[in-house]
Amino acid sequence: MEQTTQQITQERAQQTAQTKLFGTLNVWKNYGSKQVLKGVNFSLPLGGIVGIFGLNGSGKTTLLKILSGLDGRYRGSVMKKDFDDVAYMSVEGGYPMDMRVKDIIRFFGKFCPQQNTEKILSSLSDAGIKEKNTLLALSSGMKQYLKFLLTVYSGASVCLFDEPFSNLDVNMREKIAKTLILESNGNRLFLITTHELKEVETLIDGFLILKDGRLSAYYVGEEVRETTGKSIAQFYKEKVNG
Amino acid sequence: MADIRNKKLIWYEGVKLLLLPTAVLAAYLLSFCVFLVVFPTYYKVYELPHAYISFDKFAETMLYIAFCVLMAVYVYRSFAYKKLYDKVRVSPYALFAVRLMWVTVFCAAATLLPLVCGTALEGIFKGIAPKRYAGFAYNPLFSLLNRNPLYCLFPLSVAMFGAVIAAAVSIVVNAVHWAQNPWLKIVQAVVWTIIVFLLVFTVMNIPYHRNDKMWGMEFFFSYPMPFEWFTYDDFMSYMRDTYTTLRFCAVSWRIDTWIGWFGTLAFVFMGFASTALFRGQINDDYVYVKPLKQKGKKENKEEKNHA
Amino acid sequence: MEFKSNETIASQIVTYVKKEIFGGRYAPGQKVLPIREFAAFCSVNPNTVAKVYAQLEEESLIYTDSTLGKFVNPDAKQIEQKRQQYLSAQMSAFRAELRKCGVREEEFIALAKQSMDE
Repeated sequence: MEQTTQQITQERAQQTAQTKLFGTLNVWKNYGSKQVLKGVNFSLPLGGIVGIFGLNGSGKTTLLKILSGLDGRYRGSVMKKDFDDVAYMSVEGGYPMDMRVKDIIRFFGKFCPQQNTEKILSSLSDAGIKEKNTLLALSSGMKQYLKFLLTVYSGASVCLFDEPFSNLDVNMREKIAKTLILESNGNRLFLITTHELKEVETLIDGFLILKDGRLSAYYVGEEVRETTGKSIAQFYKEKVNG
Repeated sequence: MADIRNKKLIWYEGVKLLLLPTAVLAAYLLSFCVFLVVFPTYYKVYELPHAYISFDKFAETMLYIAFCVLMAVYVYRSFAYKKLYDKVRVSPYALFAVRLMWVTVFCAAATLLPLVCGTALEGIFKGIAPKRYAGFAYNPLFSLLNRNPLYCLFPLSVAMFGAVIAAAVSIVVNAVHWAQNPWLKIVQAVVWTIIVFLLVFTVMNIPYHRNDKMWGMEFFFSYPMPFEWFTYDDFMSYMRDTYTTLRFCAVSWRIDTWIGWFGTLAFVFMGFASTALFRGQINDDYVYVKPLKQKGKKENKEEKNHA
Repeated sequence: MEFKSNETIASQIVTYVKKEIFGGRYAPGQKVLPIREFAAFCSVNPNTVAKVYAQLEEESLIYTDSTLGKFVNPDAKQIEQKRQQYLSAQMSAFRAELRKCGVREEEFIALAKQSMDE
């Protein structure tokens, strides 16, 4: 049930002839004297949706920042084999407030040539967000949704989603889940951190647990259910508190 | 793909950076056209030379305003767009280089425009009232008439100045970005502004030999230049001098000196160096990791041997 | 769609699809949703649905046409055969449960009649 990095890499690679890998090699990160990440190692082939779970303050956002390349101050390395592009949906803002929705989309479209702009625009209009709104005018949930669309429709091989479900109502959450399903394919990897275990219960192929600065081995969702008879949420709760 | 992105970066950043400052230039051009038409029509001929000098000072003010607007936009974009450019993985060095390029281009253009317009204006006014100009002592900034042709290098001097200020600003901005604590950010801003200011001051006061005689530019520096660097003595003499206006404290890089060229390049280099120093490594390792060794899983090694 | 936590999602969906086919809501020869769209419909991972379809194909309930997509088996007789197999397997399991409660043949038939009348 608990597959090591090596096993999952070999198995998946054989099944799908996937050569592209994403992961880290011995990443250590500290904020001052506090060691947040202690030798984080993983290696996943592209193709699927993977969850990263951990308690508050376990370092999930830190890890995602390092994986996305936004934080360069760490020991160790991020490994990207046979691809380059990583898109990141962050928790905090990061957009200049004077920009309008269409400006942001144009900006990302310029620098991410594979962006699917039509889908972004149609999803926004379905949600009632107008192109000419400034970012200031959007509620936090709408900003979150915009960030999600820009990430998932960026065309990047690896998309990192930090708490994509927070701040969103029931309908938006469903939309996000369905979008993730429709956009995933054998050449893309979606990494999601979330506390909303129920939302991702059936969505993810497998998951990793970040505890005490260390990353667990890769758990395959269906195997967890089969061998333990527990849901992913139950299993995770026991693992993280055990 | 990197080439396409850099081209897009050049045009995107260029437009966004220069939109407002160019508006200032457009305002100047409009005023020039209005002045050119209105003044000779409605005013007494004997006022022409004085009016011309007033317009020259107006042009100088507009240049200062355009430059300040440019720097304000530069600082704003450096802060507000940092995370955005990080997200699309635009190299901070490329970004700095592109912005630096546009600053120098704009400074050159912003000096060239009044220079051309002022020269034309002087020519026209002299044509209207040549007698009024006889015996009238004046020293306009933006005019090429009766000057050494090398005065055409005036835009180059301002462009170099612009590059130095942009680099100096970037050093401070990078230092502020590096700090994560808000209080530390303020400290960094103050400390590094002082450091940068002292660097400029020090370099400017290195005794230098002017190469003007070597290059035939000995008449060059008898004409007023904007952004005139002044030591305390210069400042006091400017205060006493009735024919020159008070220019506010700034740096001027004399392009006829080796230290001027060296100083400019040194500042540009420091701009790039501060990016490297304060932003930290951007780890882009393309390392293929061999499958991790596992205790007691020797059979995998055997599988590899069979394959 | 709601899922139980003690069984794999794939097997739960397989059961769901079988019930749809045997209950006639998926007609023989009818086109079924492609993997990704069906996954979106169920809100589950596409790899899971891929496994579901693979298992259903193995059991000859579904086949893949390389250009046109996936379809329910058009052979109604074969489907009826599978349905009977499924029903009798369900029945055996149910009988085993009832035997534990001590239900014998007459009581069983009476209970069955009663539930049909309801």
